[in-house]
Amino acid sequence: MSHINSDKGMDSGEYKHAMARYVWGFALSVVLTLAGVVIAGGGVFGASLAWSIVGILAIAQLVIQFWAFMHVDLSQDARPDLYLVMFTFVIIILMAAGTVWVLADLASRMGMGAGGMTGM
Amino acid sequence: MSATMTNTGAAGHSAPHDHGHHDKTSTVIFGFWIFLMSDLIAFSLMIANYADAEWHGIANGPSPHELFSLGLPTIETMALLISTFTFGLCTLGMKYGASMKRTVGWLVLTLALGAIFLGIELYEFHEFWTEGNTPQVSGFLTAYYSLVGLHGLHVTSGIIWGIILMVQMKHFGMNDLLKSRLVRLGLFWHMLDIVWIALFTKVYLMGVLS
Amino acid sequence: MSILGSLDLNDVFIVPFLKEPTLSTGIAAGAGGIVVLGALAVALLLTVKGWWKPLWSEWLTSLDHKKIGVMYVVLAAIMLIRGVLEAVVMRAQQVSPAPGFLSVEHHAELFSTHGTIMIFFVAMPFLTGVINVVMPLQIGARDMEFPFMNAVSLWLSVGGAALVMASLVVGHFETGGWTAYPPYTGIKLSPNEGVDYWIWSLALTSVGTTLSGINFAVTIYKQRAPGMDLMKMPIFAWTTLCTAILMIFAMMPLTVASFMLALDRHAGFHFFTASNGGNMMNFANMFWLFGHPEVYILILPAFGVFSHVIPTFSGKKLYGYTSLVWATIAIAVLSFTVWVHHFFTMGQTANLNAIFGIATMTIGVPTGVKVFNWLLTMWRGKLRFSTAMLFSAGFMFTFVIGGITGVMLANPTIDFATHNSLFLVAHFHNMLIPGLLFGMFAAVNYWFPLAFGFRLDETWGRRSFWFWMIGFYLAFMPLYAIGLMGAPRRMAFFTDPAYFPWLVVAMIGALCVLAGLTSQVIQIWVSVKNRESLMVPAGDPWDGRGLEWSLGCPVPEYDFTTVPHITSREPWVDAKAAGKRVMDPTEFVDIHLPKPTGMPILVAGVATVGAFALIFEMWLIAAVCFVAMWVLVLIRSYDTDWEETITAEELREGYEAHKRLVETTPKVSLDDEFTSKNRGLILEEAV
Ligand code: HEM
Ligand SMILES: [Cu+2]
Repeated sequence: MSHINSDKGMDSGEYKHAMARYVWGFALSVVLTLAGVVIAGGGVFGASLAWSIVGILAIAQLVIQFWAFMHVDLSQDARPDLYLVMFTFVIIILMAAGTVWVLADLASRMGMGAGGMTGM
Repeated sequence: MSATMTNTGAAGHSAPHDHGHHDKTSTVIFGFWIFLMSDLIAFSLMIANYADAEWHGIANGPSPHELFSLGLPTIETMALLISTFTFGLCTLGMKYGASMKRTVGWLVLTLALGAIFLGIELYEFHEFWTEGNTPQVSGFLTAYYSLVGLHGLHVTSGIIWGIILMVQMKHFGMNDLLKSRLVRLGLFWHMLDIVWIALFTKVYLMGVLS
Repeated sequence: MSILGSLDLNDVFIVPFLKEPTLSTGIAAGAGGIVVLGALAVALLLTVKGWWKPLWSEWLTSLDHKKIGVMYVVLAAIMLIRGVLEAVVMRAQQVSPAPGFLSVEHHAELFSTHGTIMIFFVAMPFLTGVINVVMPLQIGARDMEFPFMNAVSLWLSVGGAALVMASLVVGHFETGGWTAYPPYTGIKLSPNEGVDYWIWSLALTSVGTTLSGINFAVTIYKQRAPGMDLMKMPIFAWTTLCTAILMIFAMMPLTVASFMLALDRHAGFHFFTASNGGNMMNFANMFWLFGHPEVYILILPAFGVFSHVIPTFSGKKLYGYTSLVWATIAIAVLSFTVWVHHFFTMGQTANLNAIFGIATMTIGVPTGVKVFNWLLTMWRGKLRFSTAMLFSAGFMFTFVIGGITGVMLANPTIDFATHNSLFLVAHFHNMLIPGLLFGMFAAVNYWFPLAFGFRLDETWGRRSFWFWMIGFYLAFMPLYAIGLMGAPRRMAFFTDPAYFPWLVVAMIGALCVLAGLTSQVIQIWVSVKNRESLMVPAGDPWDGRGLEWSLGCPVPEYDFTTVPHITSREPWVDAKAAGKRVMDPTEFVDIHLPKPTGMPILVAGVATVGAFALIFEMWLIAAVCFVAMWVLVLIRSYDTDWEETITAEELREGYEAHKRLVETTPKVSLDDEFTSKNRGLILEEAV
């Protein structure tokens, strides 16, 4: 859980350490974002491989930003937040992936290809 | 979940019942975290709906491949990414005793970047709209406008919230209450960028790949 | 379009009747009239008695968790009366010679409001209210973590309920059932304001519920008395925690789905339309992503109640605490994995159905564990059948039957035959009436003294139990039978003569339930009248076991004079065993309690007006209300002086006074538990 005050100043090592985390998080995010754009727009890989790669890059960036900006890590202090986020992602996977699964299954039984029931 | 709770059950020991100010602050922030998580559920359901609509809901409208290009959305994404970083610098400085001027400076920069993000988004909406691609055309466009628009509404409220906090800083000075509010806005803002990673990837990157 | 949007004279409840007087419009006009006259009568009473001011300053502006809880329960009680009356009218309709006395639309409105009200405005406020009163007292907290937000939640729920009430007076409610599936509820097939009533009343209360969930979870996480680690926490607090987690995560799908429906209806979007690539199946999907966890939101708190009532009135420790905790957690998590069982027949592949069928049956296991926990708690106990205990026993017996039919329905092949039949209606009433209402009735009978200082009348309480119990069986067992014979749900009338005798029995059952409800009204009346002889100022009238019973009744505003230090699961039992009649004080310190404020009711009031404006397409007024609501929140954010102090000295005096009272209260034996000799603190070892 975040603290709003530190007894250290802006010249302390602690501050520099914390700052480094933001800078790392930012730099990595920029790299991952641009990599995703290049892969999606560049046409080097086949569509389905590129699709998987940008997906993985996004997940990596997600984790990095939780770590760098929202201070979710393995420290004792951040434990409640970490468990909360993990539990939330379990629910999100159940709900979002479950939805996509159910709807895709339904579509498969109705002969709905891509584009759906056009002009119905 | 339960393991969580059992391990941290000691919270009951350590927290003096009549908690001091600091403890109350971290509790409020934790409550806000939970709120953010339930907001994430809303976004994830919208994304799931989008995934379905993009697949089966094109109807007579354009497909994502026909609609999207990566240029503007990438700039937009960068603006938001820089803004989440500058907000980090804002709250970091605040915690380590930076002057109020400096804190407000970073905040202004953040909100300005947020406004740029919004501007680009609205410009894109406008372009699509004038081409006749309104949300009323197809399930896919409905899903697109609502998903991206919902995020945009969040950014808008973040900007308004930030402005209000600046006014309040002027009135109250930088007290603990305002610090706590600023930290919460920071979490909100960082969360919006995290959500945007998912949107950018699903809507635009995967969209041009489809 | 005028500023009043789509509102016109025909929307006023009495006008359709004047234009076309039939029994059906007459009943509608009568219902509207009751709402209007009832409101006027209450206003008059308050004015004549001069009660407005105390009502405002003591109750409506209070941030005290006990008072907020009581107001929730009052809301639930009022709405329960409406819900049951509607059920009786529906039952009467179906036993009348076809086509009955109600128009088809009117009947459809009735089952839609009945379902919506029972779930969102009876069940939810009831359990939220009981949690509010009891949970902080059980964990040694002085209030909810966020008292202001707690009051906002309450008034948002009241606002939602007020809208459903308003639909009797202005315009109509929807006719698509409590589930409101599109495309039927889309703008083409349901062009009037009914569906919008459903959307916006639910929006208000869902926001309130999500906030309550956050409040409960953080309170339990942060406010437990020192030493009370999670495995020492009372079961009711555990079930509250799990319910809170479900509230936090499960309300969102409903909110999202209903907002999407609103956009479809008013902005021409295509989320769920039958054309242009909309997908109405995703509405059903999202509705039940909410709906199934919702039924566990409804049922878990009641499980918690039984886990306290049964040990108390069996004079024994709860059997298998740990297994009960794990069963609760398992139910909460599994409840997110079974939603598809509500639409097995929508067309998925058999494999997908099979997976969800199996997941559903799995939930039966932890639930079964709990029933054995309670049974083994009673085993060889010295049972005392108070009203609360009767409701608990009635629950166990009846709930198991509902569980068995549930496992039947979990089998997709069986569900294909029984889906949308009265068999299903019988099943869920079989779960909800014992598993929710009986639990809440037990809770009220059991914990009432904490809030008001006196016990409830046992005679009328027991009568109400028998009416409810017998009424339930008569009203719903026939529905299992005709459901299997093929009777669909939501029918305005039946023409098959074979159903008729069963429907007559069900009608008698509904009347019996009504008698049960009436008995409860009488019970309250009689208890208030005789409150002197029912007072239990020393607290603990039932030889209770939880921390809440270490307090005097009614519990003072500050709850605890000093925060107890917890070393075991049943600290109050330990203290009593050591011969103590009050808990040892720890440290007296100044405490801060939130000051009363009118802001929550104002914020929610403006939100409710805004929602009403949305229902009748008064966009301008809606926008103004929306802005005004946030301005109010902003004003509140400037108010930093929201606490008042109670000094350590006052608390010490409170403690001393309570101690003196307890010491001068004569001991009574358990045999006199239900007599006026019981002034609190009965002891098993009679003197
Ligand atoms: C007190 C006695 C009650 C009686 C006599 C009763 C009776 C009925 C009847 C006749 C229906 C319509 C069945 C049909 O489709 O033909 C119904 C539906 C329903 N009831 Fe009850 N009910 C009672 C209590 C409750 C309670 C306590 C709850 C929930 C907490 C509840 C929830 C529902 C729901 C959700 C529906 C479905 C509405 C729909 O079809 O959309 N009922 N009830
Ligand atoms: Cu279910």
